[in-house]
Amino acid sequence: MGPLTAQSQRRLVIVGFLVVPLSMLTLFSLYPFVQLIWYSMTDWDGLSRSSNFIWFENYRRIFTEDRILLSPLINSLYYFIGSLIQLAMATYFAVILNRGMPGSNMFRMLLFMPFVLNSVAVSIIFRDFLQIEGGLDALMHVVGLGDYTQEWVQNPAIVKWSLVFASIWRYLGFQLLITYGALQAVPQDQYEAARIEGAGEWQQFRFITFPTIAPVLGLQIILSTVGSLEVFDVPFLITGGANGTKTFIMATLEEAFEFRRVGMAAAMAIILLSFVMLVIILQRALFDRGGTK
Amino acid sequence: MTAESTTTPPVANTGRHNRLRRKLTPQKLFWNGFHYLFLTLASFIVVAPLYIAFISSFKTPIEMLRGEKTDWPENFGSLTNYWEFFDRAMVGTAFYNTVFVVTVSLVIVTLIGTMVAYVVDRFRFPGRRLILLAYVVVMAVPHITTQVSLYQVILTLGLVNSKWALIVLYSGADIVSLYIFIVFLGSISREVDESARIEGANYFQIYWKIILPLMTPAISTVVILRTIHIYNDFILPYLYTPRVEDSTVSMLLYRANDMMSSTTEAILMAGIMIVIAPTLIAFLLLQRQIVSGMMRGAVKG
Repeated sequence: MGPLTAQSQRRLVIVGFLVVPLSMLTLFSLYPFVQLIWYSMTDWDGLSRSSNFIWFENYRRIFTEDRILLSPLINSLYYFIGSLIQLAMATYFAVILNRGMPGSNMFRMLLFMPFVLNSVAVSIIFRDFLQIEGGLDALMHVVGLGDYTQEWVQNPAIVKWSLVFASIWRYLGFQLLITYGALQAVPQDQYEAARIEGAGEWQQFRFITFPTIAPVLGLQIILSTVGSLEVFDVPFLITGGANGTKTFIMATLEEAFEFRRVGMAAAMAIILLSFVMLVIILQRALFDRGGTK
Repeated sequence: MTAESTTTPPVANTGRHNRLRRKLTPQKLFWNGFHYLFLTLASFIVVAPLYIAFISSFKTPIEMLRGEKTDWPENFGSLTNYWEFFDRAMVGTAFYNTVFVVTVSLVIVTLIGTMVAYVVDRFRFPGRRLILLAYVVVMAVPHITTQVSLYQVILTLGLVNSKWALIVLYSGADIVSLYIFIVFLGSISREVDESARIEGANYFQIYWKIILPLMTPAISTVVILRTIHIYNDFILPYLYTPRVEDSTVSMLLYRANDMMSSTTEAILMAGIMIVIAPTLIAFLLLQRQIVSGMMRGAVKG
């Protein structure tokens, strides 16, 4: 081909195809990551030209003043519990929908639908739905549960569960799809054979379905753990962090962009990042043993 | 909705299977009823908030304040609130911005992703493993945590308050799509490009005429996943494009939400319907592709 030798043509393609992507990777992912570590040891305010290097002072403050770390961590725990409930529900629905009962496709579509909706739209809908005399209360009156209405968002004891509910509403269908995808790997004749042997619903699940989807479920628990540390949209838009619903990301962004304590925010981000890394490393250690990816 | 999804097991059509299906013992009947009850309940919970938002979008301010949320609107189908929302908010600008950001990002992500996948999968060169390692490490770092320092990078580049901030972040920093491309290309046999090579095609022609078309399934997965993500994302527009003229649909609603009071709630609901309608329509039309694209992509996530 033309004046280029095969060797130089090869080199040209490799360099030419990688230069833009690798500069973007460096600029938008690697460099900010390194920069974050640097910021976390300074008292930079994000504006001034100078800042002081203060070693681990930010970290010390985070771990000694527990208002910073403790409350978001407790909130993450709520989302984590919520995500386990969500996983159980998603698995249940995926298993029964996988049998191809009449209407399965319609139910699957309905349950998945919230995932494709705009997160601001969903959050405003939920804020209205959960307010006093809002949609939920009205519905409860209609079905005769009117005596059990609550201050879903105003009551500090309930608001966290309300937010978890909104989050399950949004992500259940997505998780259902992942589990459903894993279930496709189970050969149908195994169920048939089991039924001939007289195995009941639970036994079929316990001995055929569960072993096949266990790795995917394990992976989902890890993803849920990471996800529950990174919650932002829904609580930010529904409560704005009021009533003790501030999450880790909300606290970090507030620190950086409202209080102008970039150094502190960076240290918080690093701590969050370390939690996430820890979870991922644990996952690798636990699941790589089988030689699977 | 659609007839048979591709995912239903083909075994369901064999006669033997059907015979076993049809034998309904009382016990089985009970369990089926139980399952349907839960499915119906869950679907009801999914639809209820959307239904109430939908009927609210037709109500007058007085109806909103006086009646129950479940009451049927007096002027169902009246578009007063919808026109009002168009008057108050820059709906056209927001949709234009969103479509612009989605389209440009998708073009860049597809080109960049397939190029990297092609080079990394088809060539062996020094530094290749290092590049792969860098991508794996970066994928493990959640993007939301680095916004504090990423913001300074975008600021230095002069892209804050510009749609291009969103475009470079949705495309340049999107590692998951790249991963989908790399995995997919790994499953395509090398024989195709090797025989093209023998017939005298150069590496660029192989990429453009052979690899890119072969990647269509992976590209459509990425297009579906990314369109849903970018259209619905809130945090990046919130941080990088706070001005009205750069608003995406998420920021349109966020700003409208700030401006509205309890008397204009129904107008806000109309705005929400305007924003989610295109997604819902696309979802109903492309349901099967979206579901299978999601399952394909999610396994990698």
